[in-house]
Amino acid sequence: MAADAAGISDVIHRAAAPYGDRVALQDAAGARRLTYAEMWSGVERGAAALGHLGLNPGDRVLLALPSGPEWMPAFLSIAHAGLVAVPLPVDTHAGLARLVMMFAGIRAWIGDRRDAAWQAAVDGVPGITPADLDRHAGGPLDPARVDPASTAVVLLTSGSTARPRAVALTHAALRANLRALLAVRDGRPDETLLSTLPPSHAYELVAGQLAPLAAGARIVYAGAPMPNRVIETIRTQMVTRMAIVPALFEALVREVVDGLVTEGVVADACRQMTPMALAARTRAMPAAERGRLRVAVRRHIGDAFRNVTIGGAATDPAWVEVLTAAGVDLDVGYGLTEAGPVVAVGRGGACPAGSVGRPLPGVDVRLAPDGEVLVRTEAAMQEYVGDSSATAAAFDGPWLRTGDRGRMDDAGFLFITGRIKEAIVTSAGESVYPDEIEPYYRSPLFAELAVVPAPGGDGNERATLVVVPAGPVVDEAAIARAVASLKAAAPARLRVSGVVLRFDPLPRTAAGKIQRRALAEMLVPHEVRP
Amino acid sequence: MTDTGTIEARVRALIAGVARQDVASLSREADLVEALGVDSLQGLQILAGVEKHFDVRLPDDELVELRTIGRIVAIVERLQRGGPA
Repeated sequence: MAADAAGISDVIHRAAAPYGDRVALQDAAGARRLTYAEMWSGVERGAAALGHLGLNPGDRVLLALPSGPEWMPAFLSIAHAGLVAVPLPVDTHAGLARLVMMFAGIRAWIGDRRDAAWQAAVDGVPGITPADLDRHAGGPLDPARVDPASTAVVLLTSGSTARPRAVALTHAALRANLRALLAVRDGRPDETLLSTLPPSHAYELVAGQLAPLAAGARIVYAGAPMPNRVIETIRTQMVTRMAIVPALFEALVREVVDGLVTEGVVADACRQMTPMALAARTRAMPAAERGRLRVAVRRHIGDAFRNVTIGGAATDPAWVEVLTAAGVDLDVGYGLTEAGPVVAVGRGGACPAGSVGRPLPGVDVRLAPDGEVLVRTEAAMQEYVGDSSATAAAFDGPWLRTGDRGRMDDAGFLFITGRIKEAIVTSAGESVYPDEIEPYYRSPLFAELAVVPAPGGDGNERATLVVVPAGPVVDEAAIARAVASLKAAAPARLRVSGVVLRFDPLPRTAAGKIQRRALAEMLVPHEVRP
Repeated sequence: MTDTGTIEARVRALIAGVARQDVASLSREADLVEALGVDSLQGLQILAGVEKHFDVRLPDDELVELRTIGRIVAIVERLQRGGPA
């Protein structure tokens, strides 16, 4: 069937055909804008330009552009030319780029960088700028030229427990995840998405950009994520939804709260409140006061904003309540690059607290006897590039091993309780997971916290709490008292057996996940206090 | 229009608030990332505070260079004088 013999670029082209004059991609100020028709003609010109580099189908092209309206036309050009896109995370330094060039067998690159370190990294591999891509005379290509079973993209993952890997996804896999997302998200052409995540990240690429483009939506690239500017962009561009990492999300909430304090709408004390305290405060408000608060919040974020997805780390359920008070839904979800990437989604208010939603249509989830979440999906990766043993280990027949531990309730809601590899085996012979322990230790005294394993001396491990104190003055006695009372309030099996104060931010991946393994390795044994 | 000393005092207060550290003795030339361990989001929060407090718009292509108190003060002075953005 012709409709199936097509690559991801053709799918976007067909789906977006009715939206020719609508804006598809733009920057935060609206100074650079591409309509659907302009985006598509750019893709055809770019594919033609790449065709003249003398590459063969399946050759890999490094996409080294910063996030912005030029990124997606370049990505689709590569796919449309039957080549494989390898998006480079924007903050990748030249040395790492050199390694990627060598190990991924890169044949060409797209980008604007011309500095000496970059030239050394690309070492003679031909480069082409977005301007060059756009100068070429394009023309329609035969959709049958792209085999749906061939690789469309190789994504570099930033693993929080494992080393980075290169994940290959086919055109068919991307299409499968798009189809499933559009079936549940009822993607609409009147949506405006604010892009704050790098498009080299699987979630942003597939759920944040390709799926909305297949529905005729508009994507606004946030640029420098300064909280005041992001809030201004949400309001002035009438943004309806965004996906965001936890740290930026909290900074945006603080930004709005700061504005409300300045306007005298809420008390100054709200500035330093934890999500839980803010939730309790909104819950206690009489209806009229809640209404006034909502109007005041909408003066900052505009009337259009409806949904936020917080990715990269477990979300504090208290945020659902805070956002609901402002008339915003918190979408939850779960996925991993290897699964193409989205596995489950849900609307925060319609899911049990702590759940990541229900599996997407066409995505089967089951639990292994040890609790590991296994996923069977058409969107699953082809392979880890250049690592056949890791690829073999990642699958159990058709089932992808996620490395995450979870459970499912009777209504089909999925809960993720931790990384299998992060299990801490205590002297009681029990496995506990940082993700289930950490929520019991939140306090306004801590800017950040994490639970990591520390050697217990008896060959077992002890769950150790690492806290970064909040505030300019560190009162160690107050922190010790807070930990003692939090510990007393936690279930017995989730009580930590040591505390470490840390004065540097916790190490995190680009997506905001705490790198617990790296953190555990930084701990010096004498720092751990009982 | 504000004088340099007032601008600098306000910039120091903004940095102290975001970094949660005492910066009274920090030199004007010290790199905020190296001296205070400020991460990229905190850096952007500091610059957001500068934009709001002084009612200026920092030029996008200079954001990455604004990593010392001296540079932030200089650009605020330039923008307040109505200099080239």
